[in-house]
Amino acid sequence: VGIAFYKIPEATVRPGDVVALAPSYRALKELVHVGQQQTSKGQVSARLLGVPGYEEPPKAALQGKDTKLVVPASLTWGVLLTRGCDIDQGPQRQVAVLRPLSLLQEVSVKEACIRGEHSSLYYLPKPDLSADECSTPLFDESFVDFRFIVSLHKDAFNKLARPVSFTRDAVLDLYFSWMRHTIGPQVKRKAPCGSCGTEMEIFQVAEDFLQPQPEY
Amino acid sequence: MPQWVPSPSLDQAAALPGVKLAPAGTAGYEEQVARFAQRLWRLLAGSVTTGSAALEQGSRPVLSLFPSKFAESESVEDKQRLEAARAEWARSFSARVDTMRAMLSNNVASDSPTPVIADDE
Repeated sequence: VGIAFYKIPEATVRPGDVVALAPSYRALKELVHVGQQQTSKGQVSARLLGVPGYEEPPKAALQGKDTKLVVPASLTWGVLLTRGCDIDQGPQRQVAVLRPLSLLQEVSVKEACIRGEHSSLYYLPKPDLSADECSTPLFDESFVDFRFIVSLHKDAFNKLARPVSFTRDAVLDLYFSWMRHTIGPQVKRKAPCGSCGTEMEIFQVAEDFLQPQPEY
Repeated sequence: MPQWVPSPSLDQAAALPGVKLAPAGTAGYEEQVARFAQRLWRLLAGSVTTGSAALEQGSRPVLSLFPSKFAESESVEDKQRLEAARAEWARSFSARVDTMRAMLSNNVASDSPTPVIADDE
């Protein structure tokens, strides 16, 4: 695409690092708890609690104590959202799922995703690193899905392969898109000018505001 | 490298060797075939997602490819529309990044570290 979007990851973990086989939890339709576990002949068994209509949730969970939940999930590509400061000082790692653009069936939806018209989705071009730079087979044209973010402990995160990373510019763009996702349609990419009605690029307006021309 | 795997049709699933199904047209035939087709598809999708490449990487497996189970054929016009969207995305990328950098430059120093909560460790 002619822009520097991906790079080889640094030795230390940084925001924008892309990891393989990251867990992506599906939206829970019900809360199923793992009850008390029993070990017999080397096998661990446990009763599942909280299934609607069958079992009550564990009392400890209702009292605010920790419980274990059965979570439907898949292992797929993910990108680290956690900022550098929090990476250095905290154990949590927020990972957003990457999904292939081909999952979107209609061409108009793919087009809207690329153009940034879905605030929950952030378009990703296909990585163009050479085989010399990255020998690992990577993902195809994709998108980050901000609706599915998982927090991992650093111990689990550090076991994941990090074959590629976003450039600094790509991380900034990703963060801006994430902000659009959280605050919704207040931040548009284009809007009509209040005076003349001409459609204007919002980002350019913001840039002009922040860096006014000398004659201003 | 794994390629796209099309979702199997009922007829394809029924025609696989070693598959014993109720005779076509009898009660339960379609349900039986549909169930088998779903199982087969899950198996194929799983092999594409976490297949041989994962094993070759040892303790740090990686994905070789996303499953493209919903891939559709695109017309020339569709491809042109997507190419135009990609070009527009690339063109606006730098402008967005410049804006972000300008907006962030005065705010970074004022951010306070996130407090550490013992239970989260």
